[in-house]
Amino acid sequence: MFTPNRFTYRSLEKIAQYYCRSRRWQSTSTEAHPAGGHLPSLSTSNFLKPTRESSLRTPGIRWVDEDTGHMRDIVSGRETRKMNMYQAIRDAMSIALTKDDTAVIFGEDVAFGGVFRCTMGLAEEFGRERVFNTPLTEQGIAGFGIGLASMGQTAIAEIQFADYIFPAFDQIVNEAAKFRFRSSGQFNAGKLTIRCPSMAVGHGGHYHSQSPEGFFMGASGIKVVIPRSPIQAKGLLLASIRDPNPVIFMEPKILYRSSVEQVPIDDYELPISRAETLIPGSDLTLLSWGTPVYHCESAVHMLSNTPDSLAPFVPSSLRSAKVELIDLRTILPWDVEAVTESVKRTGRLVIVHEAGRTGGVGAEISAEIQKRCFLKLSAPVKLVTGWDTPVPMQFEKFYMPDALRILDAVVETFGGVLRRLFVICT
Amino acid sequence: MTYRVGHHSTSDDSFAYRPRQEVEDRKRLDNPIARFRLFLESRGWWSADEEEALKTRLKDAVMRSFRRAETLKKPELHEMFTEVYGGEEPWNIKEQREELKGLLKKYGQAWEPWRNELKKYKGEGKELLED
Repeated sequence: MFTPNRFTYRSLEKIAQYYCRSRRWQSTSTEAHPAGGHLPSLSTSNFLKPTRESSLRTPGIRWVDEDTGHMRDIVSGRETRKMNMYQAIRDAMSIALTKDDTAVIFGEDVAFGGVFRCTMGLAEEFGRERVFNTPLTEQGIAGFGIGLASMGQTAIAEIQFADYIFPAFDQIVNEAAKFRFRSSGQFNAGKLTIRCPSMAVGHGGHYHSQSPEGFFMGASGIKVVIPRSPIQAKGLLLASIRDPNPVIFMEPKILYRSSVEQVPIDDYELPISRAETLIPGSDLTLLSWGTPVYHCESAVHMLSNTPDSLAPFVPSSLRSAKVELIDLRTILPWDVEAVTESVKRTGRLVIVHEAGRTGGVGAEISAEIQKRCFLKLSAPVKLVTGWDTPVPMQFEKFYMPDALRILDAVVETFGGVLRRLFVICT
Repeated sequence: MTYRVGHHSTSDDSFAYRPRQEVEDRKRLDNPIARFRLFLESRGWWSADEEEALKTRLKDAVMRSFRRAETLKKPELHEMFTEVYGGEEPWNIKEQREELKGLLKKYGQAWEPWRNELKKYKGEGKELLED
Protein backbone atom coordinates (compact mmCIF):
# COMPACT_ATOMS: atom_id res chain seq x y z
CA MET A 1 0.00 0.00 0.00
CA PHE A 2 1.29 3.37 -0.92
CA THR A 3 0.36 6.56 0.75
CA PRO A 4 -0.96 8.75 -2.02
CA ASN A 5 1.51 11.52 -2.59
CA ARG A 6 -0.10 14.82 -1.78
CA PHE A 7 2.28 16.78 -3.96
CA THR A 8 1.56 17.61 -7.49
CA TYR A 9 3.90 18.92 -10.07
CA ARG A 10 2.80 22.47 -9.44
CA SER A 11 3.60 22.58 -5.77
CA LEU A 12 6.99 21.09 -6.38
CA GLU A 13 7.69 23.37 -9.26
CA LYS A 14 7.07 26.22 -6.88
CA ILE A 15 9.35 24.80 -4.25
CA ALA A 16 12.12 24.23 -6.69
CA GLN A 17 11.93 27.64 -8.17
CA TYR A 18 12.53 29.31 -4.86
CA TYR A 19 15.12 27.07 -3.37
CA CYS A 20 18.71 27.87 -3.89
CA ARG A 21 20.85 25.12 -5.22
CA SER A 22 22.74 24.49 -2.03
CA ARG A 23 19.89 24.80 0.45
CA ARG A 24 18.18 22.00 2.26
CA TRP A 25 14.82 21.88 3.95
CA GLN A 26 15.91 21.56 7.51
CA SER A 27 18.54 24.25 7.47
CA THR A 28 17.77 27.28 9.56
CA SER A 29 20.75 29.35 8.54
CA THR A 30 19.92 32.83 7.35
CA GLU A 31 23.26 33.49 5.72
CA ALA A 32 22.64 31.89 2.37
CA HIS A 33 21.76 33.61 -0.84
CA PRO A 34 18.23 35.05 -0.69
CA ALA A 35 15.69 32.62 -2.10
CA GLY A 36 13.94 35.17 -4.20
CA GLY A 37 16.98 37.04 -5.46
CA HIS A 38 18.74 40.17 -4.34
CA LEU A 39 17.28 43.59 -3.83
CA PRO A 40 20.33 45.85 -3.88
CA SER A 41 18.70 48.83 -2.22
CA LEU A 42 17.87 46.77 0.88
CA SER A 43 21.44 46.57 2.07
CA THR A 44 21.59 50.31 2.52
CA SER A 45 17.98 51.04 3.45
CA ASN A 46 17.38 53.39 6.32
CA PHE A 47 13.95 51.87 6.81
CA LEU A 48 15.32 48.65 8.28
CA LYS A 49 16.05 48.89 11.98
CA PRO A 50 19.37 47.26 12.84
CA THR A 51 19.43 48.12 16.56
CA ARG A 52 17.35 47.18 19.57
CA GLU A 53 16.73 50.85 20.40
CA SER A 54 15.36 51.77 16.99
CA SER A 55 13.36 48.54 16.83
CA LEU A 56 11.61 49.08 20.15
CA ARG A 57 10.70 52.61 19.07
CA THR A 58 8.93 51.48 15.92
CA PRO A 59 6.20 54.08 15.36
CA GLY A 60 2.73 52.90 16.31
CA ILE A 61 3.94 49.76 18.10
CA ARG A 62 1.47 48.46 20.68
CA TRP A 63 2.76 45.90 23.16
CA VAL A 64 0.35 43.12 23.95
CA ASP A 65 1.36 41.87 27.37
CA GLU A 66 0.10 38.71 28.93
CA ASP A 67 0.36 39.64 32.58
CA THR A 68 -2.10 42.50 32.48
CA GLY A 69 -4.12 41.58 29.47
CA HIS A 70 -3.80 45.20 28.50
CA MET A 71 -1.51 46.94 26.13
CA ARG A 72 1.26 48.71 27.96
CA ASP A 73 3.73 51.14 26.58
CA ILE A 74 6.95 50.16 28.29
CA VAL A 75 10.13 49.84 26.29
CA SER A 76 12.68 49.09 28.96
CA GLY A 77 13.45 45.45 29.61
CA ARG A 78 12.20 44.34 26.22
CA GLU A 79 14.50 42.37 23.97
CA THR A 80 14.94 42.03 20.26
CA ARG A 81 16.45 39.37 18.03
CA LYS A 82 17.89 39.59 14.55
CA MET A 83 15.34 38.13 12.16
CA ASN A 84 14.61 38.16 8.50
CA MET A 85 11.01 38.50 7.36
CA TYR A 86 10.14 34.82 7.23
CA GLN A 87 11.49 34.37 10.74
CA ALA A 88 9.48 37.34 11.98
CA ILE A 89 6.35 35.89 10.39
CA ARG A 90 7.08 32.54 11.99
CA ASP A 91 7.58 34.31 15.30
CA ALA A 92 4.20 36.02 14.97
CA MET A 93 2.46 32.72 14.24
CA SER A 94 4.25 31.05 17.11
CA ILE A 95 2.88 33.73 19.44
CA ALA A 96 -0.60 33.33 17.96
CA LEU A 97 -0.50 29.55 18.53
CA THR A 98 0.90 29.93 22.06
CA LYS A 99 -1.61 32.48 23.26
CA ASP A 100 -4.69 31.32 21.43
CA ASP A 101 -5.65 27.69 21.93
CA THR A 102 -8.10 27.87 19.07
CA ALA A 103 -5.48 28.98 16.54
CA VAL A 104 -4.54 26.59 13.74
CA ILE A 105 -2.30 26.95 10.69
CA PHE A 106 -2.87 25.09 7.46
CA GLY A 107 -2.00 25.17 3.80
CA GLU A 108 0.03 23.38 1.18
CA ASP A 109 3.30 22.05 2.66
CA VAL A 110 3.08 24.18 5.82
CA ALA A 111 3.71 21.16 8.07
CA PHE A 112 7.13 20.83 6.43
CA GLY A 113 7.86 24.47 7.04
CA GLY A 114 6.37 25.90 3.87
CA VAL A 115 8.23 26.68 0.68
CA PHE A 116 9.46 29.94 2.19
CA ARG A 117 10.00 28.46 5.67
CA CYS A 118 7.50 30.69 7.40
CA THR A 119 6.08 27.74 9.33
CA MET A 120 9.43 26.02 9.99
CA GLY A 121 9.23 23.84 13.08
CA LEU A 122 5.73 24.96 14.06
CA ALA A 123 4.21 21.52 13.44
CA GLU A 124 6.87 19.93 15.67
CA GLU A 125 6.38 22.57 18.34
CA PHE A 126 2.60 22.79 18.41
CA GLY A 127 1.57 19.45 16.99
CA ARG A 128 0.20 18.29 13.69
CA GLU A 129 -3.36 18.83 14.86
CA ARG A 130 -2.67 22.56 14.86
CA VAL A 131 -0.23 22.95 11.97
CA PHE A 132 -1.17 20.75 9.06
CA ASN A 133 -0.96 20.25 5.33
CA THR A 134 -3.95 20.50 3.07
CA PRO A 135 -4.54 19.04 -0.37
CA LEU A 136 -3.65 21.27 -3.27
CA THR A 137 -6.92 23.16 -3.44
CA GLU A 138 -6.90 26.88 -2.72
CA GLN A 139 -10.67 27.04 -2.83
CA GLY A 140 -10.73 24.25 -0.28
CA ILE A 141 -8.20 25.99 1.95
CA ALA A 142 -10.20 29.22 1.95
CA GLY A 143 -13.52 27.43 2.44
CA PHE A 144 -12.12 25.33 5.26
CA GLY A 145 -10.73 28.47 6.90
CA ILE A 146 -14.06 30.26 6.62
CA GLY A 147 -15.81 27.32 8.25
CA LEU A 148 -13.30 27.16 11.08
CA ALA A 149 -13.43 30.91 11.62
CA SER A 150 -17.22 30.98 11.65
CA MET A 151 -17.14 28.37 14.41
CA GLY A 152 -14.89 30.59 16.51
CA GLN A 153 -11.49 29.13 15.70
CA THR A 154 -8.59 31.35 14.72
CA ALA A 155 -7.80 30.16 11.22
CA ILE A 156 -4.43 31.08 9.72
CA ALA A 157 -4.33 29.82 6.16
CA GLU A 158 -1.48 29.92 3.72
CA ILE A 159 -1.95 30.16 -0.01
CA GLN A 160 1.44 29.08 -1.31
CA PHE A 161 1.68 31.96 -3.80
CA ALA A 162 -0.57 34.99 -4.19
CA ASP A 163 -0.70 33.99 -7.86
CA TYR A 164 -2.71 30.94 -6.76
CA ILE A 165 -5.27 32.81 -4.72
CA PHE A 166 -7.59 33.01 -7.71
CA PRO A 167 -9.08 29.53 -7.25
CA ALA A 168 -10.05 30.80 -3.77
CA PHE A 169 -11.51 34.01 -5.15
CA ASP A 170 -15.10 32.83 -4.89
CA GLN A 171 -14.71 31.69 -1.29
CA ILE A 172 -12.99 34.94 -0.32
CA VAL A 173 -15.23 37.36 -2.19
CA ASN A 174 -18.59 35.60 -1.95
CA GLU A 175 -18.24 33.87 1.40
CA ALA A 176 -15.60 35.41 3.67
CA ALA A 177 -16.30 39.00 2.67
CA LYS A 178 -20.10 38.75 2.78
CA PHE A 179 -20.52 36.44 5.77
CA ARG A 180 -21.12 39.19 8.32
CA PHE A 181 -23.37 41.26 6.07
CA ARG A 182 -25.60 38.47 4.87
CA SER A 183 -26.27 37.20 8.41
CA SER A 184 -26.89 40.70 9.73
CA GLY A 185 -23.91 40.30 12.00
CA GLN A 186 -24.99 36.99 13.51
CA PHE A 187 -22.03 35.18 11.98
CA ASN A 188 -18.71 36.22 10.52
CA ALA A 189 -15.40 34.85 9.27
CA GLY A 190 -13.38 37.51 11.05
CA LYS A 191 -11.01 35.01 12.63
CA LEU A 192 -9.69 34.06 9.22
CA THR A 193 -6.32 35.31 8.02
CA ILE A 194 -4.98 34.24 4.65
CA ARG A 195 -1.23 34.67 4.18
CA CYS A 196 0.26 34.58 0.72
CA PRO A 197 3.69 35.39 -0.76
CA SER A 198 3.33 38.04 -3.45
CA MET A 199 5.13 40.47 -5.74
CA ALA A 200 8.07 39.80 -8.04
CA VAL A 201 11.56 38.44 -7.48
CA GLY A 202 13.22 38.94 -10.86
CA HIS A 203 12.69 35.49 -12.35
CA GLY A 204 9.23 34.36 -11.34
CA GLY A 205 7.41 34.66 -14.64
CA HIS A 206 3.66 34.93 -15.02
CA TYR A 207 2.68 32.77 -12.06
CA HIS A 208 5.16 33.60 -9.31
CA SER A 209 5.31 37.36 -9.58
CA GLN A 210 1.86 38.85 -9.36
CA SER A 211 0.47 41.45 -6.97
CA PRO A 212 -3.23 40.64 -6.88
CA GLU A 213 -4.23 43.14 -4.19
CA GLY A 214 -6.19 45.22 -6.70
CA PHE A 215 -8.60 42.36 -7.39
CA PHE A 216 -9.81 42.49 -3.78
CA MET A 217 -10.49 46.23 -3.67
CA GLY A 218 -14.16 45.68 -4.38
CA ALA A 219 -14.63 42.98 -1.76
CA SER A 220 -15.83 45.05 1.17
CA GLY A 221 -15.77 42.97 4.32
CA ILE A 222 -12.20 41.80 3.94
CA LYS A 223 -9.00 43.67 4.62
CA VAL A 224 -5.76 43.53 2.66
CA VAL A 225 -2.43 44.13 4.41
CA ILE A 226 1.09 44.21 2.89
CA PRO A 227 4.16 44.57 5.16
CA ARG A 228 7.55 45.91 4.06
CA SER A 229 9.94 44.44 6.66
CA PRO A 230 10.37 41.90 9.48
CA ILE A 231 9.20 44.25 12.27
CA GLN A 232 6.26 45.37 10.18
CA ALA A 233 5.39 41.82 9.18
CA LYS A 234 5.26 40.52 12.76
CA GLY A 235 3.21 43.41 14.14
CA LEU A 236 0.85 43.64 11.21
CA LEU A 237 0.34 39.87 11.04
CA LEU A 238 -0.56 39.64 14.73
CA ALA A 239 -2.95 42.56 14.26
CA SER A 240 -4.41 40.85 11.18
CA ILE A 241 -4.90 37.56 13.01
CA ARG A 242 -6.75 39.36 15.81
CA ASP A 243 -8.68 41.79 13.63
CA PRO A 244 -12.43 41.10 13.74
CA ASN A 245 -12.48 40.81 9.95
CA PRO A 246 -10.99 38.34 7.49
CA VAL A 247 -7.61 39.63 6.34
CA ILE A 248 -5.54 38.78 3.30
CA PHE A 249 -1.93 39.24 4.28
CA MET A 250 0.35 39.53 1.27
CA GLU A 251 4.04 39.01 1.96
CA PRO A 252 6.49 40.42 -0.62
CA LYS A 253 8.50 37.28 -1.15
CA ILE A 254 11.76 38.94 -2.18
CA LEU A 255 11.88 40.40 1.33
CA TYR A 256 11.61 37.04 3.14
CA ARG A 257 15.35 36.65 3.40
CA SER A 258 16.77 39.89 2.13
CA SER A 259 15.16 42.16 4.72
CA VAL A 260 16.68 41.75 8.17
CA GLU A 261 15.97 43.71 11.35
CA GLN A 262 16.19 43.50 15.09
CA VAL A 263 12.65 42.36 15.85
CA PRO A 264 11.09 42.67 19.32
CA ILE A 265 10.59 39.19 20.73
CA ASP A 266 7.50 40.21 22.73
CA ASP A 267 3.95 40.17 21.47
CA TYR A 268 3.12 43.43 19.72
CA GLU A 269 0.83 44.78 17.05
CA LEU A 270 1.09 47.48 14.45
CA PRO A 271 -2.10 49.25 13.43
CA ILE A 272 -4.10 48.13 10.42
CA SER A 273 -5.46 50.82 8.09
CA ARG A 274 -2.72 53.22 9.14
CA ALA A 275 -0.13 54.35 6.63
CA GLU A 276 3.36 55.20 7.84
CA THR A 277 5.39 58.20 6.75
CA LEU A 278 8.93 56.98 6.22
CA ILE A 279 10.46 60.21 4.95
CA PRO A 280 8.74 63.49 5.79
CA GLY A 281 8.64 66.08 3.03
CA SER A 282 6.73 69.10 1.81
CA ASP A 283 6.96 69.14 -1.98
CA LEU A 284 5.71 65.80 -3.31
CA THR A 285 4.08 62.70 -1.84
CA LEU A 286 5.43 59.34 -2.96
CA LEU A 287 3.11 56.48 -1.99
CA SER A 288 3.85 52.77 -2.22
CA TRP A 289 3.71 49.45 -0.36
CA GLY A 290 5.76 46.27 -0.14
CA THR A 291 8.89 45.84 -2.24
CA PRO A 292 8.74 49.10 -4.24
CA VAL A 293 8.97 51.11 -1.01
CA TYR A 294 12.71 50.45 -1.24
CA HIS A 295 12.87 51.50 -4.89
CA CYS A 296 11.17 54.71 -3.79
CA GLU A 297 13.82 55.21 -1.14
CA SER A 298 16.50 54.82 -3.82
CA ALA A 299 14.68 57.26 -6.11
CA VAL A 300 14.46 59.87 -3.36
CA HIS A 301 18.17 59.42 -2.77
CA MET A 302 18.89 59.73 -6.49
CA LEU A 303 16.93 62.97 -6.60
CA SER A 304 19.08 64.68 -3.97
CA ASN A 305 22.32 62.95 -4.93
CA THR A 306 21.87 62.73 -8.66
CA PRO A 307 24.41 60.46 -10.38
CA ASP A 308 26.38 62.29 -13.07
CA SER A 309 24.85 60.21 -15.81
CA LEU A 310 21.36 61.38 -14.81
CA ALA A 311 22.30 65.00 -14.18
CA PRO A 312 20.94 66.17 -17.55
CA PHE A 313 17.50 64.80 -16.63
CA VAL A 314 17.21 66.16 -13.11
CA PRO A 315 17.11 69.97 -13.02
CA SER A 316 19.39 71.22 -10.27
CA SER A 317 16.51 73.23 -8.84
CA LEU A 318 14.79 69.95 -7.93
CA ARG A 319 17.66 68.42 -6.03
CA SER A 320 16.69 70.14 -2.82
CA ALA A 321 13.01 69.20 -3.22
CA LYS A 322 11.58 67.47 -0.18
CA VAL A 323 9.80 64.27 -1.15
CA GLU A 324 7.52 62.67 1.43
CA LEU A 325 7.53 58.87 1.25
CA ILE A 326 4.56 56.98 2.66
CA ASP A 327 4.17 53.21 3.06
CA LEU A 328 0.43 52.54 2.74
CA ARG A 329 0.72 49.15 4.55
CA THR A 330 -3.01 48.43 4.48
CA ILE A 331 -4.50 48.40 1.00
CA LEU A 332 -8.10 47.83 2.07
CA PRO A 333 -9.46 49.85 3.78
CA TRP A 334 -6.62 52.26 3.06
CA ASP A 335 -5.60 55.27 5.12
CA VAL A 336 -7.28 57.99 3.10
CA GLU A 337 -6.74 60.58 5.84
CA ALA A 338 -2.98 60.20 5.93
CA VAL A 339 -2.65 60.37 2.16
CA THR A 340 -5.06 63.29 1.85
CA GLU A 341 -3.31 65.23 4.61
CA SER A 342 0.04 64.68 2.94
CA VAL A 343 -1.09 65.60 -0.56
CA LYS A 344 -2.84 68.73 0.70
CA ARG A 345 0.56 69.84 2.00
CA THR A 346 2.68 68.76 -0.95
CA GLY A 347 0.28 69.28 -3.86
CA ARG A 348 1.74 66.34 -5.76
CA LEU A 349 1.23 62.59 -5.64
CA VAL A 350 3.13 59.76 -7.30
CA ILE A 351 1.85 56.24 -6.60
CA VAL A 352 4.08 53.22 -7.19
CA HIS A 353 2.93 49.60 -7.36
CA GLU A 354 4.06 46.44 -9.10
CA ALA A 355 0.62 45.39 -10.32
CA GLY A 356 -0.57 46.56 -13.73
CA ARG A 357 -2.09 50.00 -14.06
CA THR A 358 -5.63 49.34 -15.26
CA GLY A 359 -7.90 48.50 -12.34
CA GLY A 360 -4.93 48.78 -10.00
CA VAL A 361 -4.97 50.16 -6.49
CA GLY A 362 -3.23 53.31 -7.75
CA ALA A 363 -6.23 54.15 -9.92
CA GLU A 364 -8.56 53.90 -6.93
CA ILE A 365 -6.34 56.06 -4.73
CA SER A 366 -5.79 58.71 -7.39
CA ALA A 367 -9.54 59.01 -8.01
CA GLU A 368 -10.16 59.59 -4.31
CA ILE A 369 -7.26 61.99 -3.89
CA GLN A 370 -8.15 64.01 -6.96
CA LYS A 371 -11.63 64.39 -5.50
CA ARG A 372 -10.40 65.45 -2.07
CA CYS A 373 -7.35 67.51 -3.04
CA PHE A 374 -8.30 68.89 -6.45
CA LEU A 375 -7.73 72.53 -5.60
CA LYS A 376 -4.45 71.76 -3.83
CA LEU A 377 -2.95 69.71 -6.63
CA SER A 378 -0.13 71.29 -8.60
CA ALA A 379 0.13 68.35 -10.98
CA PRO A 380 -1.95 65.32 -11.97
CA VAL A 381 -1.53 62.25 -9.79
CA LYS A 382 1.03 60.05 -11.50
CA LEU A 383 1.18 56.26 -11.45
CA VAL A 384 4.34 54.20 -11.80
CA THR A 385 3.20 50.60 -12.19
CA GLY A 386 3.72 47.38 -14.04
CA TRP A 387 2.33 47.46 -17.57
CA ASP A 388 -1.06 45.98 -18.45
CA THR A 389 0.51 42.72 -19.61
CA PRO A 390 1.13 39.49 -17.72
CA VAL A 391 4.37 39.75 -15.70
CA PRO A 392 6.86 38.84 -18.43
CA MET A 393 9.66 36.50 -17.43
CA GLN A 394 12.10 37.77 -20.06
CA PHE A 395 11.25 41.45 -19.72
CA GLU A 396 10.79 41.87 -16.00
CA LYS A 397 13.53 44.50 -15.65
CA PHE A 398 11.57 46.75 -17.98
CA TYR A 399 8.19 45.77 -16.60
CA MET A 400 8.52 46.49 -12.89
CA PRO A 401 8.78 50.04 -11.63
CA ASP A 402 12.41 50.62 -10.62
CA ALA A 403 14.17 53.53 -8.97
CA LEU A 404 14.82 55.24 -12.30
CA ARG A 405 11.19 55.10 -13.43
CA ILE A 406 10.14 56.46 -10.04
CA LEU A 407 12.73 59.23 -10.23
CA ASP A 408 11.51 60.09 -13.73
CA ALA A 409 7.90 60.28 -12.51
CA VAL A 410 8.92 62.52 -9.62
CA VAL A 411 10.86 64.86 -11.92
CA GLU A 412 8.02 64.90 -14.46
CA THR A 413 5.49 65.66 -11.74
CA PHE A 414 7.58 68.61 -10.64
CA GLY A 415 8.44 69.55 -14.20
CA GLY A 416 4.88 69.92 -15.34
CA VAL A 417 4.40 72.68 -12.79
CA LEU A 418 7.62 74.41 -13.67
CA ARG A 419 6.63 74.44 -17.31
CA ARG A 420 3.23 75.87 -16.46
CA LEU A 421 4.78 78.53 -14.26
CA PHE A 422 7.15 79.33 -17.05
CA VAL A 423 4.25 79.87 -19.42
CA ILE A 424 2.44 82.06 -16.91
CA CYS A 425 5.54 84.11 -16.12
CA THR A 426 6.49 84.83 -19.72
CA MET B 1 -2.35 9.48 -10.72
CA THR B 2 1.30 10.04 -11.47
CA TYR B 3 4.33 9.86 -9.23
CA ARG B 4 7.69 11.58 -9.63
CA VAL B 5 10.49 9.20 -8.67
CA GLY B 6 13.31 11.77 -8.93
CA HIS B 7 13.89 14.91 -6.95
CA HIS B 8 11.99 17.80 -8.41
CA SER B 9 15.18 19.57 -9.45
CA THR B 10 18.82 19.94 -8.48
CA SER B 11 17.67 22.29 -5.72
CA ASP B 12 15.20 19.83 -4.23
CA ASP B 13 15.88 17.19 -1.59
CA SER B 14 12.58 15.37 -1.68
CA PHE B 15 13.56 12.98 1.12
CA ALA B 16 12.94 15.87 3.48
CA TYR B 17 9.23 15.43 2.89
CA ARG B 18 8.76 11.80 1.75
CA PRO B 19 10.36 8.54 2.81
CA ARG B 20 13.19 7.27 0.65
CA GLN B 21 11.66 3.79 0.73
CA GLU B 22 8.40 5.08 -0.73
CA VAL B 23 10.30 6.42 -3.74
CA GLU B 24 12.32 3.22 -4.14
CA ASP B 25 9.13 1.18 -4.02
CA ARG B 26 7.53 3.35 -6.64
CA LYS B 27 10.50 2.83 -8.93
CA ARG B 28 10.22 -0.95 -8.69
CA LEU B 29 6.72 -2.03 -7.82
CA ASP B 30 3.84 -1.71 -10.17
CA ASN B 31 5.71 0.95 -12.13
CA PRO B 32 4.08 1.14 -15.58
CA ILE B 33 7.28 2.27 -17.29
CA ALA B 34 9.32 -0.54 -15.78
CA ARG B 35 6.57 -3.02 -16.61
CA PHE B 36 6.38 -1.86 -20.19
CA ARG B 37 10.15 -2.13 -20.56
CA LEU B 38 10.05 -5.68 -19.23
CA PHE B 39 7.24 -6.48 -21.62
CA LEU B 40 9.20 -5.14 -24.60
CA GLU B 41 12.32 -7.00 -23.51
CA SER B 42 10.41 -10.24 -23.02
CA ARG B 43 9.24 -9.98 -26.61
CA GLY B 44 12.74 -9.25 -27.81
CA TRP B 45 11.73 -5.79 -29.00
CA TRP B 46 14.01 -3.87 -26.69
CA SER B 47 17.24 -4.42 -24.77
CA ALA B 48 19.41 -2.84 -22.12
CA ASP B 49 21.96 -1.85 -24.78
CA GLU B 50 19.37 -0.13 -26.88
CA GLU B 51 18.08 1.61 -23.80
CA GLU B 52 21.52 2.89 -22.95
CA ALA B 53 22.16 4.09 -26.51
CA LEU B 54 18.83 5.91 -26.56
CA LYS B 55 19.53 7.59 -23.24
CA THR B 56 22.95 8.77 -24.37
CA ARG B 57 21.59 10.10 -27.66
CA LEU B 58 18.70 11.97 -26.03
CA LYS B 59 20.81 13.39 -23.23
CA ASP B 60 23.32 14.64 -25.78
CA ALA B 61 20.59 16.28 -27.85
CA VAL B 62 19.07 17.96 -24.81
CA MET B 63 22.42 19.25 -23.59
CA ARG B 64 23.32 20.60 -27.02
CA SER B 65 20.01 22.44 -27.24
CA PHE B 66 20.50 23.69 -23.74
CA ARG B 67 23.94 25.10 -24.47
CA ARG B 68 22.72 26.73 -27.64
CA ALA B 69 19.73 28.30 -25.90
CA GLU B 70 21.99 29.75 -23.24
CA THR B 71 23.91 31.73 -25.84
CA LEU B 72 20.79 33.20 -27.43
CA LYS B 73 19.70 36.72 -26.67
CA LYS B 74 16.37 37.47 -25.04
CA PRO B 75 13.54 38.23 -27.46
CA GLU B 76 13.05 41.73 -28.81
CA LEU B 77 11.81 44.04 -26.09
CA HIS B 78 8.67 45.12 -27.94
CA GLU B 79 7.41 41.55 -27.62
CA MET B 80 6.53 42.38 -24.02
CA PHE B 81 3.42 44.09 -25.36
CA THR B 82 2.48 41.71 -28.15
CA GLU B 83 0.08 38.75 -27.89
CA VAL B 84 -1.70 40.21 -24.88
CA TYR B 85 -4.73 40.60 -27.14
CA GLY B 86 -5.53 39.34 -30.58
CA GLY B 87 -7.07 41.67 -33.13
CA GLU B 88 -6.95 45.39 -32.57
CA GLU B 89 -4.48 46.47 -29.91
CA PRO B 90 -6.20 48.33 -27.05
CA TRP B 91 -5.19 51.92 -26.29
CA ASN B 92 -3.72 51.14 -22.88
CA ILE B 93 -1.23 48.62 -24.26
CA LYS B 94 -0.36 50.99 -27.09
CA GLU B 95 0.17 53.93 -24.75
CA GLN B 96 2.18 51.95 -22.25
CA ARG B 97 4.48 50.74 -24.99
CA GLU B 98 4.89 54.39 -25.99
CA GLU B 99 5.64 55.26 -22.39
CA LEU B 100 8.40 52.67 -22.19
CA LYS B 101 9.70 53.85 -25.56
CA GLY B 102 9.92 57.39 -24.19
CA LEU B 103 11.77 56.16 -21.11
CA LEU B 104 14.24 54.16 -23.21
CA LYS B 105 14.87 57.10 -25.50
CA LYS B 106 15.61 59.24 -22.51
CA TYR B 107 17.60 56.87 -20.31
CA GLY B 108 18.41 53.77 -22.38
CA GLN B 109 21.96 54.83 -23.08
CA ALA B 110 22.52 57.31 -20.24
CA TRP B 111 21.70 54.98 -17.35
CA GLU B 112 24.21 52.19 -17.08
CA PRO B 113 22.01 49.52 -15.47
CA TRP B 114 19.50 49.92 -18.32
CA ARG B 115 22.20 50.09 -20.99
CA ASN B 116 23.68 46.83 -19.73
CA GLU B 117 20.28 45.20 -19.47
CA LEU B 118 19.31 46.23 -22.99
CA LYS B 119 22.35 44.44 -24.38
CA LYS B 120 20.78 41.14 -23.36
CA TYR B 121 17.92 41.61 -25.79
CA LYS B 122 17.83 40.87 -29.46
CA GLY B 123 18.00 44.27 -31.13
CA GLU B 124 18.93 45.86 -27.79
CA GLY B 125 15.56 47.59 -27.61
CA LYS B 126 16.15 49.53 -30.85
CA GLU B 127 13.14 48.00 -32.57
CA LEU B 128 10.95 49.41 -29.82
CA LEU B 129 12.32 52.89 -30.44
CA GLU B 130 11.56 52.54 -34.14
CA ASP B 131 8.06 51.08 -33.71
